[in-house]
Amino acid sequence: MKEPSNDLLRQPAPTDHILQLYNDHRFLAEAVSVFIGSGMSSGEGAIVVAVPDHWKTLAPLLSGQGIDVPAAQERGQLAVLDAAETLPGFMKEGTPDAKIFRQTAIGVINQVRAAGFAKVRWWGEMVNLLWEAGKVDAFVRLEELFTEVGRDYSVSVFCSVSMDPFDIESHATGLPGAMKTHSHMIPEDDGRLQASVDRAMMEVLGESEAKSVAALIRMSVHPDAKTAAALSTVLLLLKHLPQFAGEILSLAGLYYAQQGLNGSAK
Amino acid sequence: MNLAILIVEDEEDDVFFLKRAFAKGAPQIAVRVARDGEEAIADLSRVGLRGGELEHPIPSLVLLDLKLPRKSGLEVLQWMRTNPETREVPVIIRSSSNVLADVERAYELGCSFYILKQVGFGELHTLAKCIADFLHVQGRNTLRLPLFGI
Repeated sequence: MKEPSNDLLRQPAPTDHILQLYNDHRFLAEAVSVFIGSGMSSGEGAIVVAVPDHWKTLAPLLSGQGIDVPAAQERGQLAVLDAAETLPGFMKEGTPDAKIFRQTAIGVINQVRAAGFAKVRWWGEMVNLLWEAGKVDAFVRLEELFTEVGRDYSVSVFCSVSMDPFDIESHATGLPGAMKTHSHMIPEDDGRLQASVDRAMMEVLGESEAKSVAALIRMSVHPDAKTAAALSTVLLLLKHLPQFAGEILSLAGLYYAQQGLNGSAK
Repeated sequence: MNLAILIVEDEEDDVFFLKRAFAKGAPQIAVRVARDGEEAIADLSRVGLRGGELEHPIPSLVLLDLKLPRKSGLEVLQWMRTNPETREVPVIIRSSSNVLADVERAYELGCSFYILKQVGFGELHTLAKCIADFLHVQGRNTLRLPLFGI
């Protein structure tokens, strides 16, 4: 990936809480390997809370960066937990219990720190399990709890959620809450997404109008998470031009897929 | 389509250059001006009265400063959102304040865009053109057939 967001994933601030939306598992694994691998290579501790399939994809990518994964686990630099097993441990009546969650999270963080790794990064996908199960309120609540723990314990947190950037339903239900609970929000490929949305906007709105709407979006200040440019564009389109958003997003989705097949953003 | 916007701004220079920018960049838009918050509310309250909409139409958009005499921009925005006639009118905040609390409150009250004031006629000319195109798109009919392939 040649993405500006890679700089953020390589060197997050201690309390950053980053959300990446993805719908391609290759991007997910690559992004997580950048986040976890660069931290471990510079001597930081790492916590991975993954579903087993994703851990199976991620571990070889870390090895490819020269990290001896079993040895890192042995010396306590890397803690790997099963997301599907960990999540039920702090859920109560369909929502995360703040006290139990904090005990669980802080326990793992302290364990890595006790092994001699003061700086810790956390990547997890328990939130994705809630999102995929349609438990939007619980998803937002867990993100809030991660923000609190990251802030209180100076841990960089990176979450990945399988969310289609062209799906209006996702934008309406999950994104507003997600924006409020993260310091940064990035798509899997901002450049490709922006190019696709720009092209679709030109087609649907007309060249001059599309440029003007894009300029208004660029000019405007936003208080929420540092949202990648393309996602901001999509969100503002939904808000201000809902009558065109469906058509623009459908078309952008086709362009996005085409660019993926061609292997490069146009 | 009759388009009108209401500029709510107390700085004389800003009013002058904004009116000029709209006259040059978006001459199809009629521009009304209110110099403070109370004048803005009075203008918006007259909507639909005295000769009906043709004489004093609901503005298609309000360009609103925040720091205003008598009533602040946020108070005007709050009033607009509680008034059935103006509840849906898009509002662009154009302010020199980038204080997070102002930005957050403006979006909570439903502003469409929050733009920081910049110096220069070029910025205003661009803004006028962008607003004209935005209103044109917003007012456009969407009776388009679904796309079958590309």
